[in-house]
Amino acid sequence: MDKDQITKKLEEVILDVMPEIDSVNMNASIVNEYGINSVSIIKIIVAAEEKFDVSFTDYELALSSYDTFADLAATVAEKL
Amino acid sequence: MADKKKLPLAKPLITSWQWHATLFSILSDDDNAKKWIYSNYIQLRCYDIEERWTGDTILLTDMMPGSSSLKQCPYLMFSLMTEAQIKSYCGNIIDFIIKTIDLGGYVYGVFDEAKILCNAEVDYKFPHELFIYGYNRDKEEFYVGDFTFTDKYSHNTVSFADVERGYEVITEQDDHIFKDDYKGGRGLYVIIKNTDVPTYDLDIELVKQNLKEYLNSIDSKNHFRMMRNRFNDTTFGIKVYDRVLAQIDKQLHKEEPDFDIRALHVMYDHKALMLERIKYLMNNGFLKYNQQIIDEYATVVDNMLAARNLLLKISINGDIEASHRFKTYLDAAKEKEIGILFKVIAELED
Repeated sequence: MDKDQITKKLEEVILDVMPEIDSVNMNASIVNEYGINSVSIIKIIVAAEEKFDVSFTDYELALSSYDTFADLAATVAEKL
Repeated sequence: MADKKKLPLAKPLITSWQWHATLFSILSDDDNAKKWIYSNYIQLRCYDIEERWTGDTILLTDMMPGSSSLKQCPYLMFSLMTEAQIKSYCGNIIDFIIKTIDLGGYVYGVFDEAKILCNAEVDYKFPHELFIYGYNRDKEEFYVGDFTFTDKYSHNTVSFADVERGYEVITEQDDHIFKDDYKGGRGLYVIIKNTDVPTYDLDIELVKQNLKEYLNSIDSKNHFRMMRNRFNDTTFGIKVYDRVLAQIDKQLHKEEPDFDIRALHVMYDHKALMLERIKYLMNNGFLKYNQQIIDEYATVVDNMLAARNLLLKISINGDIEASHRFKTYLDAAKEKEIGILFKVIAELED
């Protein structure tokens, strides 16, 4: 799966988990732009694990690991 | 009266309970207050308690000083206002809160947040402490800090009408803050930041004593028996790890699993604050600068965060089988923390 495909699939995951947003800017600050907190990032990760059939370690659940959704996409890419 | 006013807020270093989130929202950035903060919040304790509005037994875990920190902190003026005083001085609660904020006072008290959150009438109450730090008269709303509005502590707005409604339906029995102070009745607290004059130095003797009592799981409440002596079955210090681990195992293996993360969140906040304390002691010459100790204690914080986040994850995906990993994280954090804190005490004793 190439980078664009990962990005597209991850955008679908994010929109599923956060139906209140219309579109996803992968390079925006997830805290300032989308109000992501320590709970909502884990909801997105759990959905991403299912969608991509990957596993995140418990250390990788920390909000501080991700400034942007692009960071999250990069972690998914490493696992594929 | 101004149309809009927000009192200063800092990003709180810890948020695990509303009283901590409130105190740290007011004082986290203040250099004088840091001397009191880092002298305290070292001892951990936990005990079973029946949660008032659900009837569930929870393991109430907290750092010392606990909820009384707002009253005992030398850098806050914490005043009780009875309902009779509020109505006599201002006629109604809304004007009282606005006038208090105009005078530089934050407002803290118990409100029914079910009424605040739900526009429709509901037949249950959710009494919870609300921290009010500002107002906007044009929009008729207060600026508040609370856990109830999102999944974690956050700052939000609540309408004047909802605050009034949320206050009025709380009875004396519902107001656990006034009840905890043995006063009964209804009312609010006014909190004024009072940090201009240094009144408390970093207390290295207290830090050492607290660290020793923490590491040896000594009953620290014995120091306060003149004021409070009603709790039994309290676990202190390092043994809190074991009791929290047993509690997590118990709550996850109930017929209907309970995903209450509060004990783990308090423990995570305790480690995060301890790391900041160690850095502070190094930066201020009480300990030699030692990056290895900082890096090693950071792994304690990371393990507690992993444990807390694991519980959040299990609450989302229902994978109870993953709960065997809690022991790995808590055991690793405990072992590393004991080693580092003994080194810290030894250096402070030199």
